[in-house]
Amino acid sequence: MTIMLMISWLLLALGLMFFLAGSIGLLRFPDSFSRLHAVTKADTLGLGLLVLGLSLQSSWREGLLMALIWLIVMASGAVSCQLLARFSDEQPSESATQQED
Amino acid sequence: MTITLWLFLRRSLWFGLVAAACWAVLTANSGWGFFTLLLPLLLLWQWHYPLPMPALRWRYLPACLLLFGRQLLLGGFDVAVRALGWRPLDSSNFCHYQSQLTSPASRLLLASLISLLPGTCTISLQPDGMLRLHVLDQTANWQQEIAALEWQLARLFGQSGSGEQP
Repeated sequence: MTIMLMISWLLLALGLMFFLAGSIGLLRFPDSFSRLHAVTKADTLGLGLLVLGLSLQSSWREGLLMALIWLIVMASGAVSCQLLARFSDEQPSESATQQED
Repeated sequence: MTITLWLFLRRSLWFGLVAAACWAVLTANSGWGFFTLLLPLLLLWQWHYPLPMPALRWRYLPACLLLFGRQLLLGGFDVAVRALGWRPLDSSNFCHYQSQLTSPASRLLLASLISLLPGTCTISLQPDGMLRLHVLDQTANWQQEIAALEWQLARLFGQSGSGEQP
């Protein structure tokens, strides 16, 4: 097994761990705002690590394709997180449970 | 009118080139018939709802990307640690942050990027630049992290009035 392949598998395992942590956060966090943190950040980083790991085992064209997909997913994740947070904020029951600063 | 049309055409050319490059990569250089139908619709949408983009100063892009990459890594790690219960999640709250950026496009970009920074999530952006946020740990120094990214964006977009380097 070459060093590149070992690094690739390490990155894939790390990416998988971040996906797992994001899913655990989705189940464990107490409110929808905190759950959005888990899904957005951990999954974006997890996907980035998966893309990096897979790129080491593929051609430059496939790597470019995966990197572009990651950028699109990151952009859509950030925007949809904001939209869902705004929607949750407009629901009175969710916002009332937390104190305004 | 002529200047507006010229600006629109110039922006459309760049937009078309970037969109075509993305299309070529994502579709493995196929489906151009659908792209030629889709592009005029996208340009029409841009004509009706224009979002003025400030000029980029490319020399500041690497520093901005480096900072964002580092914060993305820290943000993912922070939320993973909290999800696994190794760090408490008992001081989350709503907060506000006044953005000093002047152009609407850069404010929108900042609002979107904040959701990927450690412990912060944008809820809404007011027209005056006030951001309503949800923070996982209100005792953390999240203001400084946002200010650092904002400063990088201000440099990237060549905007003054965004204060000193945090």
